[in-house]
Amino acid sequence: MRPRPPIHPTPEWHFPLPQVAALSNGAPVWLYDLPGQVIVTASLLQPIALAGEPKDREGVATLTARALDEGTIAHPGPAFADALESLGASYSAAAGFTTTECVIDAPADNLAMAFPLFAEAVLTPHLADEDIARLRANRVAEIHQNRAVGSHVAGSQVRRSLFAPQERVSRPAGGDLTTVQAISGDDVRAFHQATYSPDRSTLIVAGDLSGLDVLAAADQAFGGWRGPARAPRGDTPPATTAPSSHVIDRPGAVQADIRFGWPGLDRLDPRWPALRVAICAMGGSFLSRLNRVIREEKGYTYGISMSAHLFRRGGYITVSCSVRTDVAHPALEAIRELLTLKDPFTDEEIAEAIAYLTQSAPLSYGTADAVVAQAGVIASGGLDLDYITGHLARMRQVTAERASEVYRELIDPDQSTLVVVADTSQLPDTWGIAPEAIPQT
Amino acid sequence: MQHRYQLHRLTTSNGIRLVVNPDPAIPAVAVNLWYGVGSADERPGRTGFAHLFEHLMFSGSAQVASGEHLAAIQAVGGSANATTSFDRTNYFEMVPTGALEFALWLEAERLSSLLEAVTERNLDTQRDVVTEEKRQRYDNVPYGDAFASLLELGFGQAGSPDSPHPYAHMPIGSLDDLAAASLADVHAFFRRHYRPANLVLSLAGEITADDALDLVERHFSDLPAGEPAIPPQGPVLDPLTDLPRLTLTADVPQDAVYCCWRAPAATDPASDTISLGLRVLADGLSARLHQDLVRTDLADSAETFDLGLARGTSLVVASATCVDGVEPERLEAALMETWERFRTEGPSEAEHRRALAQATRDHWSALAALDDRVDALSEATGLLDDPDRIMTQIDRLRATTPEEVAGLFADRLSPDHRATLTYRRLP
Repeated sequence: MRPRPPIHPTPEWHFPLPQVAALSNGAPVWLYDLPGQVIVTASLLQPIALAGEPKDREGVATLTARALDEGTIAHPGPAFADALESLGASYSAAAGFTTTECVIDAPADNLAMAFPLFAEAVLTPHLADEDIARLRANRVAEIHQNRAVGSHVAGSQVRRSLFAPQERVSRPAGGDLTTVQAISGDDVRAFHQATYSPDRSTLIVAGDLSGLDVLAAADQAFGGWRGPARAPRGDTPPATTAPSSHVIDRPGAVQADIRFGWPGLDRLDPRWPALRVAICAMGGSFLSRLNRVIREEKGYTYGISMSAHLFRRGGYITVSCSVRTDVAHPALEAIRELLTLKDPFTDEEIAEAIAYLTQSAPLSYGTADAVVAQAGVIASGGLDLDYITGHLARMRQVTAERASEVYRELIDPDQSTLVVVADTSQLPDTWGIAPEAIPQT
Repeated sequence: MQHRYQLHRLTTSNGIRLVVNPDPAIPAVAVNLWYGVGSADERPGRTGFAHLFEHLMFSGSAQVASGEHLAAIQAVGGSANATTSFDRTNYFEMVPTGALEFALWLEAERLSSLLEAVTERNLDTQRDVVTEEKRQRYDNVPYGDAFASLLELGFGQAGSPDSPHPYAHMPIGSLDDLAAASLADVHAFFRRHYRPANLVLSLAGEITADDALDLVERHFSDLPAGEPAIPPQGPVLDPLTDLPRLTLTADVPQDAVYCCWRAPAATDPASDTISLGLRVLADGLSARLHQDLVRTDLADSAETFDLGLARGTSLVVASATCVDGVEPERLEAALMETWERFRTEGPSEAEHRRALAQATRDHWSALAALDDRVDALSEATGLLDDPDRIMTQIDRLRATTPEEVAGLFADRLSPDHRATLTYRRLP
């Protein structure tokens, strides 16, 4: 027998603090020097709220962000991608509900040459009609693709059901079939003109920056950028609705995609550390209560998880899994039973969840892109630069009692929004809920 | 761009190939165990077994309860998982430095005493879990059967019903075969494949080579080496002929076309050279297929990839999804026109340089995270016993010429030697 070796405690660890500077136009720059990370990630975060998209053109922010690398004034058409890709750089973008993020990855050696191209894409994109038409068709195809995937249908439905219809977060960030098909080149150019601006934007760069004058390169590229002033962001979380239940018919499906959902909270809520620990113990780790029973004991699923989805303000909580159709009923009952938290969390469960969440932090931030992603959350959430370090300390203080209390405050299985996407002809009954068709979005 | 990792290739007293990359950037160590057994080692009637077995490796051992392996690693802030492919099964942990010895102990525990813990009940449950994994990954998603169909097209004709080619089936296997797997199969499989001599163990992170060897010896050295590993090998198959074709009518959002070719194995340097050509065709907005198919409104997307198979022959795939209203035949013809033009003229100097720049970025990106880096080290050692390959591979690519790329495409990837899978949307 080999004796079980001791585990040595992890020394205290801090999320890296950036060098903070500003461009000539006032936009802050955060530089994270990560020796050995030879592919550098640079991310420009603009506080563009999708709530500001024209209601009948939702998705215009997504098409704008996606179109930036389709050609610029200086490098029209494919010449832009050719120039960027010849440096070994790549561009990507995402228009989230409150922040649009434009990102380039480039080998450190080529960063100084990639920056002017990055700025060209953001400041002076061509946004030609034919490119917008193609990206619009791609987005439509993407919507059809999403509608063909049960887990995606379930995920969209739960968000749509949890939030009031006037709230932008109740609808897809990239727009729906009707709004996307209405978007023209003029719409995109107007949106770019009206919303792209250095005001309240942040540039974050991470990677092995040794020997590079990143600030000078960034300032040369973006320092002269001017744009409209932005109003300060609102701080009101999106309004939620009363719980509802939905069964969506997906003929031919061989599994039932199940979602439970509840309104949640954001990082500024003092309950967040306790909620995060509680969610981990209930459904965030391999032997969490849900996965232990639903996967490891019953074999109903490949995996079940509970997650918090955090917006800048407000959020929601879900439980997700896919089970074979003929056990959908017992699985639903078993999940609901576990979610009632009949027995409060034990000290041991909470200690393990805290250890998992806090000690895994240094492991999660080993790469440039991971640091940039987290720094982006800090920037767009208006959080302190050492937010992560403080958050880890607050999670370490969570007791089993506090975790159970916050869990019960926020998660009532009898007050959950429920979504099941399945081939209803294979279900013995649909829990008394009239089946719906897959929504158009 | 020149970047170098410090690497040590060691061997333990019982034949474990040990690779160590000291890198103290974060207080963690990534552990990767690469057993030289995959779905290509399965017997007919027992497809999916290597992967089912991978699940059973989490059943515990003499001193570890079922599921405890993963839970205990998570409870120290680490992560653990495993994957099964055609040529290997790998198990990995990423742990805070203070838990490295514990992770190695867990791995040694299951290698020494797994069979004491596997029960009929574990087997039944994990069979159910794997069935749901198959449904979730393949059976319940559009185009989920593309992978299996491409393997059938590429390798189905290479064997016989009694002796199918080892790459003719997917690692997930068939549900009938999974249902037939017995506890006796589990025991036999473990004894046949799980032994120190068939193991590559890679470590990267806050650890020195000396300490690594010491720890691995401490926990693994009492296990007998077993039969030496057999390097992955197999026949170089002749190119496909007669344009095999399969058309599936399915509930998919768009019509789509996949073409595939038998190609050099992952162990053959020609495979790397071909990868440059595949980038010229489909990596980024400047790639030829993007220009010729996507920008012309024939395809929504176009991509190329290589399955990276090691035993003699791999499979290269080019695929595209149709823009609404474009017939798949028309898209296939356009795809082959671009392909054939590239095959005859090869990459331009500028295209070659661009593909190299992209390959360089992807190469170092793929090594940026410790857990990805140990996986690459294990693969380079398991396939070719050459851990330095994680660096020399990119150097070697930079020494290639456009003519070499063109030559390989001309020889191996003619449209005449393709097979085609077409999806037609249900009317």
